Amino acid sequence: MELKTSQQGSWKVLHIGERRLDALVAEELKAALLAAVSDGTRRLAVDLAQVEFMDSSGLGAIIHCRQRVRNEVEIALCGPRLEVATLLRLTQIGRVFKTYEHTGAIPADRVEQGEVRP
Amino acid sequence: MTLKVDIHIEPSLLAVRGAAAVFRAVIAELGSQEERQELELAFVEACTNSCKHGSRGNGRKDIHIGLEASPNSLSVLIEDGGHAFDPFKKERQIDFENIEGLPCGGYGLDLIRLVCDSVDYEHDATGNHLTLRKEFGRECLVKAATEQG
Repeated sequence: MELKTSQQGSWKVLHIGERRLDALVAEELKAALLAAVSDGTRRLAVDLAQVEFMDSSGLGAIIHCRQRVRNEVEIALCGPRLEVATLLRLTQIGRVFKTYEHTGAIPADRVEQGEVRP
Repeated sequence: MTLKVDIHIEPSLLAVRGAAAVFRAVIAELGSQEERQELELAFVEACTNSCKHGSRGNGRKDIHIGLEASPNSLSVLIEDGGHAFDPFKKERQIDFENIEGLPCGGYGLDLIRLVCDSVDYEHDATGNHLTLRKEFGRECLVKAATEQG
């Protein structure tokens, strides 16, 4: 599976280069997601802009990762195309994950915006 | 004009991708883009289920897919040799507030029922026969009939 990672403020962004996230690659995706947060990352954005098709197996891999990290890692979805958005709508799983139109829409780190933390 | 396509695939996930490519070509001119996306999703879910479970029974070992497309309708027959299952089982009640309790799988049949206008199912000695149907442009036809009085 073609993957790239980048850092955007406090978010690690995992760019998925695979066109189809289906049962064929679901286990690989699951492993990639868990590997991405294994270094203590607290915010993971999954960039789906290149993904042209995702079925419930691909979605299941993301849900699995979310459950494994519990509330210790915030997971968001970025750039879902219409095809992926259709799946999120039909399963209603879109309600569970914060979704951004593209990685540029990820909110900047709140500390960088001047939020004062105690 | 009606287009009929029969394909036989081995029960492998790679073969399901190939079948999906054929399916996309068959429905390329049907319905709206959204309908086609939903139909491909339902098709892949059904084929993936057949691939995972379909060769466990005593019936056929391949997966037969029969597509029949006309400008206003699509029929998809998927046959495998798996054990009987209930495609009409009640939709699960999912608590979306409880993320820890969200199922990681099992969405396929729910998606198929959501997308298709009808789902027919039979099981016999050869295995499972699942038929999905979708009609296109129904609203337009109803509107036209209403306007004609």
